[in-house]
Order: sequence, then C-alpha cells, then structure tokens
Amino acid sequence: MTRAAVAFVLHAHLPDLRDATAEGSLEERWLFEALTDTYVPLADLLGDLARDAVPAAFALSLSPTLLAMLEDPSLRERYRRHLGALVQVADREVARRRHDPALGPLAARHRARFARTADRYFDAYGADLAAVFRAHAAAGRLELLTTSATHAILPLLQASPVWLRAQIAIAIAEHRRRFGEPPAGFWLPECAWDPALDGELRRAGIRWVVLDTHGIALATPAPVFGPWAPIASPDGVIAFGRDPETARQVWSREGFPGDPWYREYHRDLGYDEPATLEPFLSLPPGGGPSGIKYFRVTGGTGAKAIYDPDRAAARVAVHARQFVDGVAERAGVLQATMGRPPVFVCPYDAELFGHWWHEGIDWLGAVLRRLAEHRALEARTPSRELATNPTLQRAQPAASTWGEAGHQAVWMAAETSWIHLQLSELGERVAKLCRGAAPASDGARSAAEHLLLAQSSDWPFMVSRNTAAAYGRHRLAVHLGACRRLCDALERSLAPDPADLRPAPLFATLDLPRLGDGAPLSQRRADGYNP
Amino acid sequence: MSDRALLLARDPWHLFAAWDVEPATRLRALRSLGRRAVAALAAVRLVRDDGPQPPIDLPPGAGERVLDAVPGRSHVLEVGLRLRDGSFVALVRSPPASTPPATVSPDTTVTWVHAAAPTTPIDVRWSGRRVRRVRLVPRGGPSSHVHT
Repeated sequence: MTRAAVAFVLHAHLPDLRDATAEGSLEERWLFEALTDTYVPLADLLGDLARDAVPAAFALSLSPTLLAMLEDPSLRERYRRHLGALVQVADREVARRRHDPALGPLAARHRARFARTADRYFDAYGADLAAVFRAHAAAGRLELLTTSATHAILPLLQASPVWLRAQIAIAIAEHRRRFGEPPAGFWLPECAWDPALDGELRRAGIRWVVLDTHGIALATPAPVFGPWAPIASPDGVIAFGRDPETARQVWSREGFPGDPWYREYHRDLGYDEPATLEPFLSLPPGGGPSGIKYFRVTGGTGAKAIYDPDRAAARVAVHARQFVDGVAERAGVLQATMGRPPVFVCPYDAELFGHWWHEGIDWLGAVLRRLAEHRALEARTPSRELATNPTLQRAQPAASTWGEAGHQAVWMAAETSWIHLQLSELGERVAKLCRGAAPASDGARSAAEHLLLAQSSDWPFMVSRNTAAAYGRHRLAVHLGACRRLCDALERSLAPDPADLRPAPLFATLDLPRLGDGAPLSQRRADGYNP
Repeated sequence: MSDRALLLARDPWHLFAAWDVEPATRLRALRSLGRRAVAALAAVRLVRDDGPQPPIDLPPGAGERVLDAVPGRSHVLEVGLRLRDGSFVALVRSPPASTPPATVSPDTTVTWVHAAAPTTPIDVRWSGRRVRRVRLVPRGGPSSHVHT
C-alpha cells in the first residue's frame, strides 16, 4: 500500500535590498540574518540528511530576487565582514559573561554558531548556496521551484497581461539559468490564485502550484477529496491545497513556535543593550537585532526566563513526534474515507524556520527523520506525489490567498491602494518602450526593472503592516518615480537622467523586445511535459 | 495619466475600483451631450454578467472606491456621468473582474484525469563530459497518457 505523503514546501524570499541600502544598514542585515538563521542551516540540514542516507525530500522555492542577492559578490564580502563583527561582539559577550553560569554558556554558544556559519558558508559551500541546493535537487532530496520575478501578486496584474507574463517568464528563465532545468512548481506569492492565471502558468510550462485550503475547498466542481488530493485545473495546472491542521500547528499563536521553552525572537542584545554592540555593528536609534538572544518565550509579556538549549531540544523532539503522530492518525481516517492515500501539503515561509522560530530547522529535521522510518507516511515532494498518485479530479480552483481573511484586502488598504492605477499606467508605457527598444537599451531596461521592482508585494506589505513602513514607502517612491521619469524622457527621445538608470541588470535573462510584445512567453519544458 | 479604469476582486463580496478620467474627456462628453449634460453628476456603476447595477454618485476628486459585489460573478466597472433623466453615460470601462465564490460549489460532477509523469532526462557521458541528453519515454509512448 502506498504511504500517505507529507509535502513540505518552503518559500525562501527577500526583496532586492541592494537599492538604497548602505553597508551596515538595517535592510541589508535582513539578508544576513536570514543567511545565518535559515539558509545556511537549511543547507546543513540537507547535508546531514544526505550523510545519514535519510530518504526524505521537500520542496524549496527560491525567489529570483533572493537568488540575485545570493550571487552578488559585494554582498558576499559584506556578509563576511558582518559575520566577523558578530564573532567580535560574541567574543566580548563571552568575556563579559564569563562568571555568569546562565548567560556565559549561551554567549559561547552564540560565538560558536557565528564562527561555524562563516566556516560553512565560505569554506564548505564556497559562498554559493544556489549550487548547494542544486546538488541536493540533483540527488532527489530537494525539489526547487520559483516564484514571480519580483514577488508580484499575480492576480493583481490581470489588467496588465504583459507584466503578468513577464513576472512568470523572467522567474522561469532565471531558474533555468541557475539550475539548468525549468521548474515544475511555481510558488504563487501569498498563495494568491485567480482562474485567470491558469492559462498563463500552463503556457509557461508550470505543472503545479500550492493554494490555501479554501482555494481547493471552494473549487468548481466541488473536489471530492478536499485539500488532501491535488486537483487539475481546466488548463492543466495542478493545484495542491494547504493542510489546515498542520498550518495551525506551526503558524498560529498557540502553535509549536510559541512554546515557552523555545528561544524568544524579540528579546535581543541589540535592543536590550545596544551600546555593547556599537563598536562593531551600527544600529538605528532604539537598537536593532543582533542575533544574540538570551531569553526564552516563557509566555506573556512580562520578564522572560533564560533560554535553556537542552530543554528546547527536548521540546523539539516532543513536537516532531506530535506532528507526525497527528498526521498519521488523520491519514488513517482519511485513507479509509478516500480510498487512496492523502497528501498533507505543508507550505511555510522558509524564514520561519531558524529565523523566527530558532529551533524550527531542528524540528523540520526531526520530522523528516521520523517520516523516513514511518510505516504509513512519507515525506514526498509535490512532483513525486504526482508521479505516485497521478489520477486527479478536474476542477477550477477558487480565487484565494493565504493572507488576511483569505483574500486580497491587504493589497487594497487605503495606504497603498493608489499604486495599482500607477502600475497599470506605467505598465502600458514601459511595454511600449520595450517593444521599440534595442535589446541593450539601458533606459528601457532600467524602466522595466524599476517597474518590476515597484510591482513587488513587499513594499505595500511593509506599509500596511507598519513593519519598516518608511522603507516600503521609500522603495515605492524610488521605483515609481524613476520609472515615470524614464518614460517621460524616452518617449520624447531625450537622454534619461543617469541617476534613474540602474547600474547593473537585475535579471540577466530580461529580454526587452520579447517582453514588450506581450505575447504569451512560452517556456518549453525539457522534461517531456510540454503543453 | 490617460483615461483608465481598474477593477480588482478584493474578496467575494467586494471589488476595489480605481480610475482616472482626464478633464478633456469629461469636457468632450459634456459638450456632445448638449442640454442633457445639465446637472450631470460624476458616477460609477458596475455592470454584472446579469446587467448594469444602479450608478453611485461620486464626490469631487474621487479616484477609487470599494464597491459591494456578488460572490462568483463577473463585473465590469464603468466610470462616467449620471444624467438628470437617470441614464448613464460611460466614459471609461475596466477590464472584467470576477469575484471568488463564497460557498462550496453545488456542482458535484467528478471527472478524473491522469497527470502524465514527465520523462526523466538522462545525461550520456563520455570521460566525464556530457555528450548527449536522452529521455525515457513511458511504456506505450506519451499517447498512452491523458495529459492534464
């Protein structure tokens, strides 16, 4: 009997932070924190699973903007200096806490972690994580997928089909350039689906996507297996639905990461005692995160207790067992009802693991190891699941997102709703410029890149959630302003302001005349799955 | 900015509408209407797949609005003028936007399809160098699968 599947789909993304960020800036540090907390440990986890011959696999979406930053030599050097500074801070903490039996060992642990990260990233991985992930994908431990070029929410671009297609086509071309093959899966930012995407994704050669539970539950006709079996859309895109229970266990306030024994994210030396970091790290007024954290979640907003790594590790084991046992129990019930093994699709932001939830990578590893030994369950990638259970119900998934209230309200909030009309207008103007542009035109390329960057979901998200809102507003103003000035100049055959030209291409595969054509940008798949 | 109207589904019950109508466009319309233009008001209306909905008058300078909608239906936004006789003159129309369904589909038709497994590319190597890439085709050939 085929085992039921647990399909982890992790989405790794950061917006392109190279614009208007100086060395040592808070925004640049988002990338460095994600590298230290999530991306390097994720590569380590894959290496450990390979070393121990654990038959486990999961899917990982790597956004084109994140990949562009990961391969930027200047950012690699800046990361080296950042890690060096963290080791110096930790050295000082080790000396300062040497008589403290509780904090002393934690300071030493931080020091060891920073030094080890530097060793792993620069020596073991050659500062090229994309190559590490590519090797694991080739060995079948990982399925790599992409997402829209600048993390644009695709249903919001329906009225600008040229740019909807560009966001998909550039992402696939960038993925193919880095990993040798086009992806079968496509991470929809915010899991945002609309039936209008169906044909566009299919023509681009995309085989599968992941939607929130209600995208499947409200599909037409009604899917007989709910979110526990993928469905095939009328145009042939296969939609997997998020399993609601495993989502609750990991995402909700009362989920695993909120356990009082886990490390508290928000208590950080950089906020508690910013002066101690000043010689090594520049921090904004009021402090900023350093990655040195001494406290555990504990509960409530009162005084936090000191972190105990051994107790946290014990909770990881408990939560891994709870997760697998819970899925196994439901798999038995569902299989009896469905007459076929269910698939539990578990999509999460990759940065949840390690960064927001410090013990998350250990938990993921423990779950994958348990699944590898389980009689009734198996960790399987979505493509492997389709090869194992290829019979699907035909249904049109419902428009949905995994965002607030399951739909698009956050993108139409008063603070940022004004951008849609501007994006629509500039989209038409830039497409016209691209149609008549020489492939090497810096002006048209810069206008296209500014527009693509303005389409990113990250800026309005920052503004509407009031997290780095000023930076989000700044980036929107920069890209929309530069795009408009470039259009104004190029439409009149005037020389563009050099300040508006982007110094280096954001995407090596950007094909201006083809982009401007607006025809469906078909990407032929090399694996026989050509539409 | 040229004349433009945009309609996006916010959720099953609401649509987000944004528009920009150049003063020259409005002026041309008013001129062509002649006397009928007297007391004309700026307004928007939704045209659903079952017909136009009553216009909504706009305050001066309005450029966007959240409009009530019906789940699972297709809508078009019209931005224009509401005339004294109750008729509506559209100046700009948006592309259509469909609201998502709010309930489980009553359609219980079940159609099964087969997701054809992609063939696996295999590198043929000679002295470590890739010389050719070949593909394994499923037994019976690709035509034995119903591609989804």
